[in-house]
Amino acid sequence: MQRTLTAPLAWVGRSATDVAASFGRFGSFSLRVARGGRDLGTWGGLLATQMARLGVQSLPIALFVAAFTGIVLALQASYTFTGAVPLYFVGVLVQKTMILELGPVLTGLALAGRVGANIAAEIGTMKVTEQVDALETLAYDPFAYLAVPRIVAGIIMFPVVVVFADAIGVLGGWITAVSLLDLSTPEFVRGLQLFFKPFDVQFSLIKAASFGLTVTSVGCFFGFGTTGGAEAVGRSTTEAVVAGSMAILVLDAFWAAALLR
Amino acid sequence: MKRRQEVLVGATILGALLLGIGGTLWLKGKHLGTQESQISARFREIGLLAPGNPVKMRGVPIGKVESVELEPNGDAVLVTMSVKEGLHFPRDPVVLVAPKSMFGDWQAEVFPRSAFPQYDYLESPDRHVLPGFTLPDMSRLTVVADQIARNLAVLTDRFGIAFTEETAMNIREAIDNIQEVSSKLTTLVSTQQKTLETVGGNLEQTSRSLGAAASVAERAFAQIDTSVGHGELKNMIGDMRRSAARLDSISAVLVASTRQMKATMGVADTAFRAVAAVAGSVQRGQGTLGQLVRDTVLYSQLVDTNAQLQALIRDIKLNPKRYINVKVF
Repeated sequence: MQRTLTAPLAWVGRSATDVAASFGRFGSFSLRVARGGRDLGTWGGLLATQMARLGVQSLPIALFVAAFTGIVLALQASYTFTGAVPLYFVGVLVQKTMILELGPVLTGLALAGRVGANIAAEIGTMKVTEQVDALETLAYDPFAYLAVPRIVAGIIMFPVVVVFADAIGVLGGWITAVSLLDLSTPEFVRGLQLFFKPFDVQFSLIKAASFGLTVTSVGCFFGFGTTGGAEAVGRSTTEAVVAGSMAILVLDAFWAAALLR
Repeated sequence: MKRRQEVLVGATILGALLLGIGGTLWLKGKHLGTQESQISARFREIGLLAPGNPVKMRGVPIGKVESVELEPNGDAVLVTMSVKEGLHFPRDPVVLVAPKSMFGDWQAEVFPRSAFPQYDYLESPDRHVLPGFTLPDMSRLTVVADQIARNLAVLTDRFGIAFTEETAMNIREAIDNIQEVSSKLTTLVSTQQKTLETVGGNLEQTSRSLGAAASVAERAFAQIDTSVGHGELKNMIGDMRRSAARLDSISAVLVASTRQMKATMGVADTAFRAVAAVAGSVQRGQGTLGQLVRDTVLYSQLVDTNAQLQALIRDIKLNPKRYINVKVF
């Protein structure tokens, strides 16, 4: 009876302790990554490979998502603006929405699934098969060797991918507006240029870099935190994707509040 | 393999850089290789104009708004614009800022001042800074329209109060009266028209008479003309000259007489003043005459004395020897 009554309290206490412990572990992980960042000789040579895997190989999925987002945006905008608002505002909506919001966020979410899961699974597998321990035995800093090149590659390549995604999204909206809507290219371009500010692009790139940092850090964190067997690897992968996606949405709100007010 | 990855990554990053920079410039409306110059304009306020808004001339985009700065004393706003180099602005150019559409996009447009002379442009001591004026946006116009609507509502209310059923009946009666007057006027006009026709006939007859009189006059003038030809008029003119000379001399005499009259009048005026003074004294009972006038007893005594003196004189005339006795020796 008493155990039944105290169970919820115990659950709350355990959850709070777990959250605090997770933050503590993430703090410790961050410190070790920062320390590993000084070991340029170890991760410098691995950077190009990680940039290719995380960035270049992620382009198809990111561009696919962006292209269809641009198409849908143009169609929905024309559907919404019927009558009251001039149709060239389709260009305004596509440009603003793609560059400020959907380009970085959807790319981040897509890469959280692809890159975050990939990193967590790879490092988790290395962890459970004691390859990480082997690296340490060989006097390699596993954080400098495994985490730092991935995180740096994420910070560099996410904005690169987002630039392409923004462009393809706007292009998709343009093609849709011209081919499916009663809108000419000059009108669409007029809308694109109407309220454009160079800061829109900066904002998009800042968000993309922070998403790259978050997705790769979370993937590495859950990968290094994997204990047990194959099941644990799967669990770490799932947790990395969920935590990475949530972190992207939280960061999105944070940057909007910090930079757009 | 690693070399290939490095090339791939390098190409991707370079492509992203070119795309990002090129796209930004394109969306900003910049064209590489185009020479631009900067112009400035001064405004009291600029509405929603912001950097990036288009600058136009004759409706054609010629540049962009670069910056919007409040002057240090806060009295005006200085707007800097980049425009295509080599453009020839109209004489006495001014810049008008206005909403481009109803959706918050604004623009600046260069005009000659003569195009819109009614606006109060903000001048600048610097002759390189163009005068500017900002047109009100829709919200301000809405406020004005709202005020007009309120005034109209007040007027309507007052009209409603003034225009009662009784007023309507009065107006209807007035209209009936006007119709009646109108019909009477029509009758009068038709009557007067006949009269006028008669008058017109008389006038025509009169005109004919006048024509005959004119013929007679013409003949008279011809006779005068003949008289002039025989020297009779010359004699008449000579007589008239002589008469005029006589009138002139008479006039001179009259002028002299008038002067004398004026002097006489002055003397008479003085005399009258003296008489008036004496009369005043007499009236007040001053002097002998005054006492005589005022004192009736004295007057009676004087009358008596006078009568006695006259009796005495009569007696002396009758009996001189009684009073005058002359002896020579």
